[in-house]
Amino acid sequence: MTIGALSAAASGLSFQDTKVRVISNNIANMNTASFKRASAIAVDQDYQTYQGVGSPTSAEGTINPTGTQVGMGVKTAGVVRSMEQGDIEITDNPLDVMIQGEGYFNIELPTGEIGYTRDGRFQLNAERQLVTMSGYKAKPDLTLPANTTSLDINKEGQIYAQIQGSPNAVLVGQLELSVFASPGSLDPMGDNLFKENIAAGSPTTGVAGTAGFGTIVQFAVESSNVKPVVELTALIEAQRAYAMNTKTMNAVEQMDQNLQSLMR
Amino acid sequence: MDSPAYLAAQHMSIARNNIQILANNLANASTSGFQADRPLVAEFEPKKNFMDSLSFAVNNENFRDTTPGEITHTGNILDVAIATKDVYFSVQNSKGENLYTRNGQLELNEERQLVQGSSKLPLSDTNKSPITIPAGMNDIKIAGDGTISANGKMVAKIGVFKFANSQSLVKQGNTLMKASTEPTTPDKVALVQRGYEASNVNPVLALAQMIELQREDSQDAFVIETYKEQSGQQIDDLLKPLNV
Repeated sequence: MTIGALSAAASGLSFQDTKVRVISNNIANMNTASFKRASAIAVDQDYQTYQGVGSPTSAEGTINPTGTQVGMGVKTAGVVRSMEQGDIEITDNPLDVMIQGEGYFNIELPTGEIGYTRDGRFQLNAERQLVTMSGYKAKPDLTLPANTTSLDINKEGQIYAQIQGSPNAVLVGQLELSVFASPGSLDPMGDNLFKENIAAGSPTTGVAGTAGFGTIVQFAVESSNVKPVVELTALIEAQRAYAMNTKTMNAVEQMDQNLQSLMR
Repeated sequence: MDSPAYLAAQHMSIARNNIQILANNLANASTSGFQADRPLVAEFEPKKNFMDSLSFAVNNENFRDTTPGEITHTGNILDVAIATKDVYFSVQNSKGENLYTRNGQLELNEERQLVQGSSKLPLSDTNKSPITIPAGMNDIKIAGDGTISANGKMVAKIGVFKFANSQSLVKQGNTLMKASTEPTTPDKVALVQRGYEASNVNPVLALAQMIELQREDSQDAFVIETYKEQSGQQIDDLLKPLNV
């Protein structure tokens, strides 16, 4: 029987280990723009029933109101991200845009698939197209005219370029956003990019400022939403839980010794 | 059966069952919606007359602690916690059975049904039907009574249920429980969006229970050891006059 208690404690150690790994990744990305903190989710494992609910307790028909169920421990159900908005960081780069509220920028990946990101630190490539830090093109293609002197991006994500020698700004295009029913479930690909999957739901594409979509802020970057205090608290919690499960193992070992002493 | 050694042995056997229950509680100290199990030890055959000085201990019941766990804020729109004691969400499995849970970390599946995150089973509304969020509606708000609105339009109402005897719910793993009786609708319920209910395991209490169990077990072993020595001594004493 004690083997069950030992494996329950071992499952606890294993979950806390996963938790610590997720926390350390959060802390490592404390300064990564648009990073969303993740947390490991635990669920209880199966149960063994030793005495069923409703089993008879006498010949007179009285029944057991609760029964005995013994659990086998814990397992990791998954890792979910907190979609809380990160703090706003003001920059002097006209191509730094931030989404205030819901939504992701659509990015064309080299494979032809679409990736999604909240990291709006755009740059220009050799063809003067808007690209991410990794050089992937924004979707739709946004090409800035040559001789652009200044750039205005409004709340709706419309990009206006002021061209040298021209009195009026030219509308270059509009940034497109995608929203997901469950953005916390998107698959992270690294480089601040995400891929859609079943759990996140299919994307709804639209423009900033309309119902269900956030708005665009120019000259701004969304900071990581990792809060060091929260992570450190979680780390201490995990460390304690780890120690507790070790204590279970000690208690079981002591009980095993009690039995062994009787066999001498 | 008047031997205290047998009683101690029986108690040691129960302790081996109960240590696993406590181990499972501690292992699930971080499991959202988890409710701790408390082993109950009872007398097996109550004494019928004064000559029966002893009675066995048995453990044929666990008691599930239904104290609500603390609500942890996540900011995720699909995280819902129940702030009311002893009421449950319902999900339906592929066999059409209703299962119950306090774990309200929700997701949307590809049919845009609201599913409970850990089991991926559809969450039930007040009529025990699945809840579908129409395409294009992502601004989901969940009111305190469970009313879901998306993009300002009411979509459904999350069903919450209570039981005459909630101890009859049987744990299935994945923070789900099975009921043997039909539930009713509670008069009052308070749901909290953007948070989940943390495990109600109190690690300090669990640790104290474990230390107590371990001590009792050492005492039981001591009782058996003493009995072994005494009975051996008695036999030696009896045999002495015979010079064997």
